[in-house]
Amino acid sequence: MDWAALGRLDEKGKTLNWRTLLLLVLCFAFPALARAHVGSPDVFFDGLVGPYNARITIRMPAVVPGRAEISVRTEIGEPLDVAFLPLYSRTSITNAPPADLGRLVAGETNLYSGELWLMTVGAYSIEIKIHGAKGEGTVQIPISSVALSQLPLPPFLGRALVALGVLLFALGVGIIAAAARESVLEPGVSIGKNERSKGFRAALVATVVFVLLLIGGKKWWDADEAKFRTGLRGGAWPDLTAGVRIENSQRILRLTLGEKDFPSMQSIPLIPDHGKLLHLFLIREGSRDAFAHLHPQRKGGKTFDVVLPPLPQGRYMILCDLTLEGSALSSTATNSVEIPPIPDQETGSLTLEPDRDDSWSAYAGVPVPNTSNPTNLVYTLPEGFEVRWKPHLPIRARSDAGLRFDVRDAEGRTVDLGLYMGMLSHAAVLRSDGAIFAHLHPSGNFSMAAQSFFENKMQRESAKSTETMRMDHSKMGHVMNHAQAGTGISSISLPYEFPTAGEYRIWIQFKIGSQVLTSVFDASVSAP
Amino acid sequence: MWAGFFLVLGAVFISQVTFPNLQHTALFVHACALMIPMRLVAMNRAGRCSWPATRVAIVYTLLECLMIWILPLFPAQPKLAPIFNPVTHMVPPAFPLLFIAPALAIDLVLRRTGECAGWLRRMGLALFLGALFLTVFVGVQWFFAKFLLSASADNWFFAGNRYWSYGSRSGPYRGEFWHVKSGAEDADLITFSKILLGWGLAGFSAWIGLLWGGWMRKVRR
Repeated sequence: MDWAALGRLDEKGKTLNWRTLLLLVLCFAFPALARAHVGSPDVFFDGLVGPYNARITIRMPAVVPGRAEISVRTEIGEPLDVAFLPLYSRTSITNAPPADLGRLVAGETNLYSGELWLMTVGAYSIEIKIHGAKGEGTVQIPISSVALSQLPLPPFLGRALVALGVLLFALGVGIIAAAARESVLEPGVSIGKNERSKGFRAALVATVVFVLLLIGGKKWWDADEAKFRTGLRGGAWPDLTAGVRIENSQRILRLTLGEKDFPSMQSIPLIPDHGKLLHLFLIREGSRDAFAHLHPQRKGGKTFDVVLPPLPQGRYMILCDLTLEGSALSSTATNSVEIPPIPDQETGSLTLEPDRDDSWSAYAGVPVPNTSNPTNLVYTLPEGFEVRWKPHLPIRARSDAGLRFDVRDAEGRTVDLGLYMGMLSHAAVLRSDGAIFAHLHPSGNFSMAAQSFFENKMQRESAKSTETMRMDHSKMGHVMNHAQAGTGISSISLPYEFPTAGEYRIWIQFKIGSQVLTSVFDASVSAP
Repeated sequence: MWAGFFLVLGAVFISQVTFPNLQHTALFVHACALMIPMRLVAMNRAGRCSWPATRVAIVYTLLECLMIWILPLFPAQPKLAPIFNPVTHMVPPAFPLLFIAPALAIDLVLRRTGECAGWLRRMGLALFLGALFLTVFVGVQWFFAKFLLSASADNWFFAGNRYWSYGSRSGPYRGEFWHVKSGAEDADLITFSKILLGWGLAGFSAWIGLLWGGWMRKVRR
């Protein structure tokens, strides 16, 4: 029996203290926080779990507490034991609850499903463990538990509750009236005019009192609902301001993060993801014909600078991925900025060195393949390489998007893709209205920094073998190196499901030799 | 016996603000002042036995104590993360509030006052009972709360420091009173004006209890 959980208890003391840290600093923006991918909360994983190749989908609840639905599809059809374990970033792993077992879906031989309750806001890692004849494998998939929306009251439930409320009201008034009218009469004595009058007056008073109570209850409910709604924000988090200045013929974009959301903190604490504190995407608004993936450098506690590549002038959307230190919550900050024309080149010292992994592409006038014309889903890069997409059309929301791409050279031969920031590919997805954005990798769309956070936490706190706990990254070569050597792979597969119907643009980035190339596709996604 | 459940229900209704660590706040006093005198006084007026309010308070105390003593005997494990406090058994509630003391005082006073007819006399009696409840209850509970937060209460009988749920972190806050730091933003100290408000609430509650108990006594079956 959870007595201590009653009421305000959990808001107090140390429990309050960590919430103070978490809530006062972060929580008022929590609902928007942790959208490492704006408007696309579901999490996908594709890779090896020990000896087993698995594709994992975690459908996040829109509210907290809520149930995350997990499905695990393995490559092999042999019987396996699949278990799900939620680990919270701020509790010891020894405090983890018992794992839930995944159940084989009826009619399937290799698809397991289960549900996990996420009881509070914050960063979790879902540990997926697969055990079978080949041995055992474990993977940590970080997720961010936040309230994204307010679920509507089903109409039938609303009507039923109103009917029951009216009945309760009527019965309450009736009981009081009856009590006033006849409760003190001797048995057998008939009710007189005086008693009826007393009953009527009591009913009147009871009605007034009940109505006042209902009005008070409605006001309390409305205030509580309004408080909840203030946390539900359409945009991303934390607050971000941006401006471009020109120094030594360089256009330098300055980002300031968290001035409003972290008022009491001198610095915004971040965990590097692929060795970078921030992954910044710039996309030209409207035409979406210029794209950059940049890595700003910290210049102050909350300020970051980055040299702009030769992008054409115009207004750009800013989408900035980050992972917070301590909580391991990942998020995307957004804004827009007007980028001035490229300044005249002058010799002189540079104000800022560009990051070696910065990449960009401007492709105005270049035809972008669209799934509405499936016969020609080939993007031809100026360097002569061709990227071919073979999706399973039509593409439906909340179904496998089929983001599998083959890269060939001008003669149609396979190419040897290198690792770009430790991954075979980085990709971005943006819906035409800008309301949905996701940053994808072949391993999935979760924050690698958050995953490292949980893996390190496991290693620190667990007596288990490091080898068992560490995720097997061999499939996507998740190694932080900048080797020019290729992987021998020429195709890219990105696990993802579009969350809603609409028109999407997809940027696929990969590395050939020392060059980072960006291909572009458009997708028409229909309703599920 | 059943009237004891009536008091238990009232206590559960305000349990959010009667946790031992909150028992030095004005909100705790106000919640008890509004909820409890009405029940004790009504039971006294309606009861057809000796020491009716005291009996009701004893039943309430025993019911709560049974929960405290029996629940931890059952092994249990939290199943939902995050688990800050890995409990291994059912978690008991905090030790019951010492309503026995004001109930005894109310019984003592009301056995001397009789029916107390007339709305003015009834009002005066209600205000007196309100003051009596506040004085006796707060006076007793104030020191008992200190005891409950001390190491001496950390045993199976009083279940001090044993009522924390799986969602409660460990730390020194468990042995401290909350919202009592003068000048703090969340401070809820028992000031003179808060005492006056508490008296008003207790008096109103006792007045309702007098009316209600008087009516219940006249009910014919």
